[in-house]
Amino acid sequence: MPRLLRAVVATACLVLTVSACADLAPVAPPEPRVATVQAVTPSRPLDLEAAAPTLEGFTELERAALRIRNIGCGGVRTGSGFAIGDHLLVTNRHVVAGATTLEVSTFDGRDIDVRTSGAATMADLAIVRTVERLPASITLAPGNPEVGQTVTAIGYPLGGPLTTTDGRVLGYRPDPVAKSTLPMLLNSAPVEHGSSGSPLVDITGELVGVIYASTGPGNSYAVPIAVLQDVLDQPQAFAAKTDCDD
Amino acid sequence: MSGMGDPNEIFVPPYVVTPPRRRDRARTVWIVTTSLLVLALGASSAAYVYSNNAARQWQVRAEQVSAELADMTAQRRQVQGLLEASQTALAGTKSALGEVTEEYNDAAKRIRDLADEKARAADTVGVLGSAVDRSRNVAVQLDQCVAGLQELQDYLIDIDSYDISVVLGVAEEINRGCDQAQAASDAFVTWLEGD
Repeated sequence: MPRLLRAVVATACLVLTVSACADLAPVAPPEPRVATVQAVTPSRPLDLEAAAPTLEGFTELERAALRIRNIGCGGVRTGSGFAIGDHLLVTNRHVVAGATTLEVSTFDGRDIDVRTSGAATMADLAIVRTVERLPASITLAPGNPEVGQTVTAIGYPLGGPLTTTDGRVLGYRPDPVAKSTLPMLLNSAPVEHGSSGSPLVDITGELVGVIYASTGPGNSYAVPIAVLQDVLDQPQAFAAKTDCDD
Repeated sequence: MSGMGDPNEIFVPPYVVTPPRRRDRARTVWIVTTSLLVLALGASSAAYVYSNNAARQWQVRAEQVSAELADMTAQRRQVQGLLEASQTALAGTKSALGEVTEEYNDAAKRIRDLADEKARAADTVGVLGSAVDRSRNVAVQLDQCVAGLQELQDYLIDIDSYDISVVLGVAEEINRGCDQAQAASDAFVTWLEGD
């Protein structure tokens, strides 16, 4: 029995010695050094979807719109027009009729010197060539607009500020002033005296007509784009001189 | 004959004590028990060492994670600060943008108003220019009328020296010119009143 006890004690000593060599000190748990990481949050709500500021400057269509002053025939008349090229504008024949002096001004009040003007014989249209470059121009639509389509007129009603009005194509009717045998574009865009020569554009901003007459509120007539295109294709269709009663 | 060393005497070896079987069993138990005890102690020691090393590794890893966490927290605070600074800058920029937009819109409206004002002024200049032209025409016609009447007066003073029919013709012509001048004057007045 003493031998057994000696063996047990010897074994225990051996184990303890080996354990001591292996650094048997108890391992302390790591101390909590940092609190829970919080997400980075803005101190005030971010309004990343905020609407862009509304700029009330001039659109390309407004830049292309022109104010025309006709001095002649014993007085002064005003009308509208629009550029279709760097030095080429379109208006009505009756706007430039009988002018001894034709004055053109832009959306920002800049005066544009006129080189020549000519009036069409087949519709109430006129083209004017300018010395200075025009600020912007309007693209011509490939064809006439359909009935019901939304249209916009941009001009200088009553010789006042540049104004934009919306309407719809009501149909194609005979010319109410009988200056043309071709059907004209009836639309509901509100116009006034002085709006004559205003461009009528569709929702894409392409030219679909030229305002030239009104038979009452919500009933204005425009020369359709197809007619204007035909006139532009025939330079001989323009007369250089016009009378006051044209 | 008894004597020592009788060669024919059978040698009887001393009696060999055979260990009892109980003692062998105890020894076996002792050996087995001791072996098991040694094995158990060895296994326990190995397990203790293994777990101790594992705990130390966990501690090292926990300290690393803790340090990383501390770095992340510091970075988070830095990012939070940057975010708030950016927000402040954004608010300032938006405010400035709003002011610039307002100024732009005011300028655009001013341009519209000035363009309209200039155009109307030019219209007025045109109207006044037309008025001057028309008044000049009326004045010329009235001058011609007055000159004609003076000429007719001279004729009438010395009427006997002229053919009466010629004087009447001149009078009619002068009268027609004066009527035209009067009509132009009336039209001019009407035009002025209309404008």
